Amino acid sequence: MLQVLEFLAVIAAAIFGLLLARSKQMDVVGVVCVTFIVAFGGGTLRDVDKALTHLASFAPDERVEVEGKEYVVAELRAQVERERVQGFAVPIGLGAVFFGLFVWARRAAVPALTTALLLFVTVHAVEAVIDPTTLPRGLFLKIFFLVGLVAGLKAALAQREAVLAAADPALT
Amino acid sequence: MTRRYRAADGSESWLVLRGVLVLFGLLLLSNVALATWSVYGDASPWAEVAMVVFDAVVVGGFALAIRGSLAPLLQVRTVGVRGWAWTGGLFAALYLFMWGYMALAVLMFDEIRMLADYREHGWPLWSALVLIAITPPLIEELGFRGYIFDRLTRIMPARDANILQAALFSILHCSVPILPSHFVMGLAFGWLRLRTKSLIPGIVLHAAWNAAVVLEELARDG
Repeated sequence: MLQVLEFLAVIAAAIFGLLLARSKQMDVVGVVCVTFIVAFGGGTLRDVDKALTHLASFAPDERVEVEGKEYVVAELRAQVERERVQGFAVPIGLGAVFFGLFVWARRAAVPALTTALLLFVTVHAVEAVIDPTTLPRGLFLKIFFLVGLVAGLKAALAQREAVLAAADPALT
Repeated sequence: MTRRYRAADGSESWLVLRGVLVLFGLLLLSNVALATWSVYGDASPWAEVAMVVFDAVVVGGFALAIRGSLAPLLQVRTVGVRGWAWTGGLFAALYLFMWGYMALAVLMFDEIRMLADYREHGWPLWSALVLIAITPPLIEELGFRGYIFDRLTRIMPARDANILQAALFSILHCSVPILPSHFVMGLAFGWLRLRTKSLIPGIVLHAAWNAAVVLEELARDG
């Protein structure tokens, strides 16, 4: 029941994000970004706040056990506080990197797409090592992006050679 | 020399890029294996030894394949006094940059302890210096500023090749906190290679930087 309610909350937050983005007359990319941030960001913040509220009931030098590991409450609190920042900084940072690659791809498609492809593969490989349950999540979307990046890279290479061949017909 | 293209379908460029992707893929494989070992295994430095040996064999093989292009880059005499001055200046600039960057990074991420596994398993300091400050700079400079940079400059301008090799260098370290800092370091090492037409200053700068990080951690933690 709780899971169903949580799912409905995410959907409601997503609809709110969608309406917010449309009211600001954003394009498709903007709408998708705002919808995702509002839908999942709120839940992440709430989970972290729940953990911090729970930890407040312990003395700072008390020891607690979490998933078989023992922590000092003060250290665990600091770690949760850092995770609150990480939860936003890492996806936004990676998003900014991919946006930078999008801008670079308009000038230099081959290096930008190579970086995007390898960054995409590495992020998912590392994520799968840290938490193997993330591997099947969104698998079709991952495959879709992977195929798109490889196809884009091949097209960029072909375009580069076509430009070279046009500049010097002796090369063809 | 005139190069003849069979067709303008990207296959010629793809052959060049394929080597880069295969080398990067193999190095990534060993890094991900090490990460898996440190998450699920006992994080013994032996895993790092295995990774270093694997990387050395892989990079050595790729470097041998283009030894004709790389041999001139291993000359010291081409560097000159100005080249060494640039190396010293870059070390100071990197130190300042990293000091500021790390001060910001610790607000968000756990501090990276490079010596923790060595201490835990009772390995001596010299082994950490060999595995952190000596072998990785040799392997990474030969791999990234050597093989990868050389191949990339065949299909793109040197400036784009430098940005791409720096990006790959930072991605390979498989860590979000150090992604921006290692990108800047990769750019600096690549710029030094272009400036001095040698890999030696980059190897020296990279080794000096890694040794400084180890010694600073040692001085801080005792």
